[in-house]
Amino acid sequence: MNVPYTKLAGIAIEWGILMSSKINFPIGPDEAKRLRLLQASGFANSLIMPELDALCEDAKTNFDVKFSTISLLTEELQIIKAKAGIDVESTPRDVAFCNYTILTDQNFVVLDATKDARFSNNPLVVGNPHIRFYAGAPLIYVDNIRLGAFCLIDTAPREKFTLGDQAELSEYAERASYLLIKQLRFTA
Amino acid sequence: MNIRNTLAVLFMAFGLTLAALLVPQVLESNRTYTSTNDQIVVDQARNDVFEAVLALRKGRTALTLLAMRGEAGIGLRDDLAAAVMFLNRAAQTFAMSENAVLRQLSDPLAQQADRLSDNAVDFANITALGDAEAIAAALVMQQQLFVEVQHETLLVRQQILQEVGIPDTVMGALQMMRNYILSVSNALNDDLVLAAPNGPDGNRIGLRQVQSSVDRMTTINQFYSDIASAYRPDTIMVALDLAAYLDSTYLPTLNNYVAAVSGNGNLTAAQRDWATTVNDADLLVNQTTARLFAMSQAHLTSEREEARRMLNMMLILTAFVVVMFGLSLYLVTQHIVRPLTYVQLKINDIAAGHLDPIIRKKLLLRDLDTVFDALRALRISSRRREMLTADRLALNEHIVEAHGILRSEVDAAAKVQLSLLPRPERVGHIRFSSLFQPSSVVAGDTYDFINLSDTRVGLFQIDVAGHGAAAGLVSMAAHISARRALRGIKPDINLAQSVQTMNAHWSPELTYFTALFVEFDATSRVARLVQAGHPHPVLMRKDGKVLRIGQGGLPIGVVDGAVFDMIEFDFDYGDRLLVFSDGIYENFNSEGEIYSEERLVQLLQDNASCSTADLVEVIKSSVVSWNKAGVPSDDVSLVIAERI
Repeated sequence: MNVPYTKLAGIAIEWGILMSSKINFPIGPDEAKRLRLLQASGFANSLIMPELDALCEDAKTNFDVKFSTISLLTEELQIIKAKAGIDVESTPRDVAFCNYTILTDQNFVVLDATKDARFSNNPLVVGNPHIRFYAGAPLIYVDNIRLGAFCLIDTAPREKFTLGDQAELSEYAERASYLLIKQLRFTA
Repeated sequence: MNIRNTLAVLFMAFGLTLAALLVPQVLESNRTYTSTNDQIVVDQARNDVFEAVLALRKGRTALTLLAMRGEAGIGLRDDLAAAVMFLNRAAQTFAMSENAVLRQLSDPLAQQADRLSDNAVDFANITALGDAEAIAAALVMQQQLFVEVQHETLLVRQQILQEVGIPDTVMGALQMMRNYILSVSNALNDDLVLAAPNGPDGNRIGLRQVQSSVDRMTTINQFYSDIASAYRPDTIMVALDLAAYLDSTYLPTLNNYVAAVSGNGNLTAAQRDWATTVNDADLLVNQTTARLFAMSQAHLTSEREEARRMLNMMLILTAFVVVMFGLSLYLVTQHIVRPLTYVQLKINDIAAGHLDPIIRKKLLLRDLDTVFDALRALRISSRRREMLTADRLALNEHIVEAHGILRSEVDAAAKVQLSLLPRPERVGHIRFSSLFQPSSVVAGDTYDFINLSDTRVGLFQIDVAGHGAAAGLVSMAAHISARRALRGIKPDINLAQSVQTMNAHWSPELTYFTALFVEFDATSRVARLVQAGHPHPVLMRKDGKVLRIGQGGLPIGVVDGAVFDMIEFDFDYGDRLLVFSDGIYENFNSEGEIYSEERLVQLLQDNASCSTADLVEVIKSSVVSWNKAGVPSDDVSLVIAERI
């Protein structure tokens, strides 16, 4: 394949920028085991689960947010397993807010991403879809292993995310985990 | 009593209290306003009555002068017309009053006005005829009528005062001023008659009469001074001109006349001066009366405006209180009672297990917002518990099912294992007895005794590390290997070498095990033994001597190229060899005390004379009774080989 030199140079420069602008994100102590279990589960493959999309749609309406997603974090990518209000299949792993959500069993909430040093320069915050509010509940698979997160995302900041909100979001995550594990039984 | 009822009662009490406070205030303000409004009208009528009295008094004077001099007819008609007009106007005013007593005063006043009018017509007719005698008689009658009408009118004035009263000190002062003017007017009218040049006594007016007029007017003016010291200056100032004139001009003129009458001065000039001052004073009386009326009207109008302002203020305050009350009621009902009722309903629902979603509400009160939020968390918590219970039950079912499957599989394995174990029997020259008690369904212990040739019998016992199904399965594999090892004994391959081969072939993926191999030889009356990590067997001689034999050795499957030693010992008629796994003496009682090898050896020594069958029973009961639970913590297996 003949590629003009200038285009090659452009690709090289773009790649270089991408590489140099890679965002640091925290990694949990059981990351290797987590990746192994995620791969073994087969959840991250392209199988579409309409019931998970319906769950996202329900959450989007219930919490009155722009988007709701169910994300699974592979080594390189954030796979959007199910979604409502947004049409994207995956993002690079480093830009994912869910990297923080999967560190503990607790929910992770960012009321205004522009005011949080961890995310104020995130491409998803400074560029499309201009995330301001994020709330994620981990998809707990087995003890200490969280395969991804159930996420609520909005382009407007929020003043609070109450205990009731947290409880309901956790329940959505549990229902999502339950549906995934149920699928595991059928495909095993 | 619930919140809704309690608040309803509280609000009702609060509302009634407010009404009890506000309604009388509003009514009082309204009454004051209506009353001042009435006072203005009453004051107009009162002034009309007062003016009528003054006019009648003047009319009387005019009649007197007319009788004296046959003049002043014009004055008489003016006074009469004025009196009629004032009386009629007062009558009309009272007729429209809402006060019944005042309304009743209307007719008497109108009657008096009619009497005056009718009489004036009669008088005019008589005057026109020119009959002096008739005119004189008519004048007397007319005078009499004026006196009567004035009297009646004064009575009405008195009734007005009794019915309406004096609303305040200003009106009180003004009332006194009217009385003062009335007194002055009466005095002046009397003086006017006295001062007339052609009076009833001509110029021969008595000194006493004039002196009496002086004293009377002085007294009247003293009355003004008394009032002036007791009331506000502006109410008194209204008659200041008159009082000052009386003091400074009228009384000195009158005194001059007194002096003239006493012979000191020109009587005619003094009398003329007096008459002039009387007229001037009378003019001042009229002006003062008009000012007084203007002042009383102004004062009452100002009072009415003040009352109207108060009434408006009370109405606005009442409206504000009613609005605030309504707003409070609305807020409490909509933003406290309704949400609380909903919370109560939902809590009951959650307690009853109905976990429908809770409506998201934007509440005005932050406290209730928190309660709602907690309620949502509570609902989720209950939902989780419900799901956990469902999951647990599903899991239990799964466990029960899995356990059933496993149990049947293990039972099958146990049957296989038991089928591998030989029954107690005689093999060749050896009689074998045994005791086998697995700690689990499947044991890690196994043993076998086989006929190797006409004169040789083989025995092995195995104890796989651990116990349970896994150890049981390994023990079965080991059982097969051990049988192969015993059968592998050839003229050039002894027991030890055969065991070494077995060890070498033992799969490293399988658990290691201890074992004991014995080859009994009937010809030479000896036995050969290879010990692979197994407990030292006990040799019980026919004579009752009990000894431990063996040299230890490594378990099978621990070291790939392990070398095993073989020992040979005499085994003659009546000798017994006891082979056992460590489970027989590593049993713990409820106090945590181990059974121990020493205790076992002692037991054997104590029962050395017993038959083999009894010995097995003794050992069994001793081991079982040691463990209160009746189930040993490790597999127990014992084989007794007896040379017969």
